[in-house]
Amino acid sequence: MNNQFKKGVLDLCVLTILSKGDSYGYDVADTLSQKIQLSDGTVYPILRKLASDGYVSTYLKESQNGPPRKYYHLTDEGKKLLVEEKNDWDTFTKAVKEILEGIEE
Amino acid sequence: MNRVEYINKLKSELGSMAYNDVTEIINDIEDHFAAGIAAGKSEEVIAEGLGNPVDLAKEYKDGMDLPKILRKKVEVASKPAVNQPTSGTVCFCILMTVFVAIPTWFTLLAIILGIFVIELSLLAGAIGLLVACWGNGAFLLPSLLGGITLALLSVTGYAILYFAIKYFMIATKAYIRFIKHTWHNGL
Repeated sequence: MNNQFKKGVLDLCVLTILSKGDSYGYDVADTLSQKIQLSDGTVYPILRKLASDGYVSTYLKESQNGPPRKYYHLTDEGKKLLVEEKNDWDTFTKAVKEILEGIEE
Repeated sequence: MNRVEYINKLKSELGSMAYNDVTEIINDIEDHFAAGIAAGKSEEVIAEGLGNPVDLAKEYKDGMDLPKILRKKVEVASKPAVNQPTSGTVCFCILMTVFVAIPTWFTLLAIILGIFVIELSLLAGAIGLLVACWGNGAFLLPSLLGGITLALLSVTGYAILYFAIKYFMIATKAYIRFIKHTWHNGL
């Protein structure tokens, strides 16, 4: 699939995954790559950007096997952003679908 | 590519970023390897899954490096400079106001009041002469002409008074602005 397609909506996907509950990088990457073909590494710059913009916060949590993991938590700002981006996405995909199907108003 | 090779390559590609940022990023990717190994994957498979370290470094750089720096600069630039007035500025503002501005201001005010009084007398004279025309046939023409002259002078005087008051107020406001500006920004 066209990489440009993916790039724009990965933020939205990551926000949505985190809205279902706090998660760590590997888990977010795993969840995404099950559905969308992409490199696992891609989620890390996105998570980092979201964190620096205040849309997600991070904390460390012990794991059963291995070192403590960095968990990501969606902040209130992040929840707001998710709603906005979801609306934008729905409007956009609806419009694209209508164009592709040749439906006229 | 194993874990160490991947991390080293990523580290060298991130070279231009701040040391703290590189450390955090490397920690994140190390954690990813650890989580993958805990899930039973080999280092090579995890490295493969992460994608080309050159591309990953590029995505990190696109994502934040420059914008973060720019944001800080913009914040600093947009902050208004609050200067504490120096003692020289304070002296200038006070002396200027007390010895120049206030005397000038009162002088101008007195002149305006003077014009106003002259106006009143001109108007009174004009009305008086015009009323006098009525009962006094002998001095009809001189009184009439005198009255009209005084009335015209009075109108001219009021026009002068109007502009005098207007510029007086504009000048007062301009002076206050000037002193405020000097106070905040120095001479």
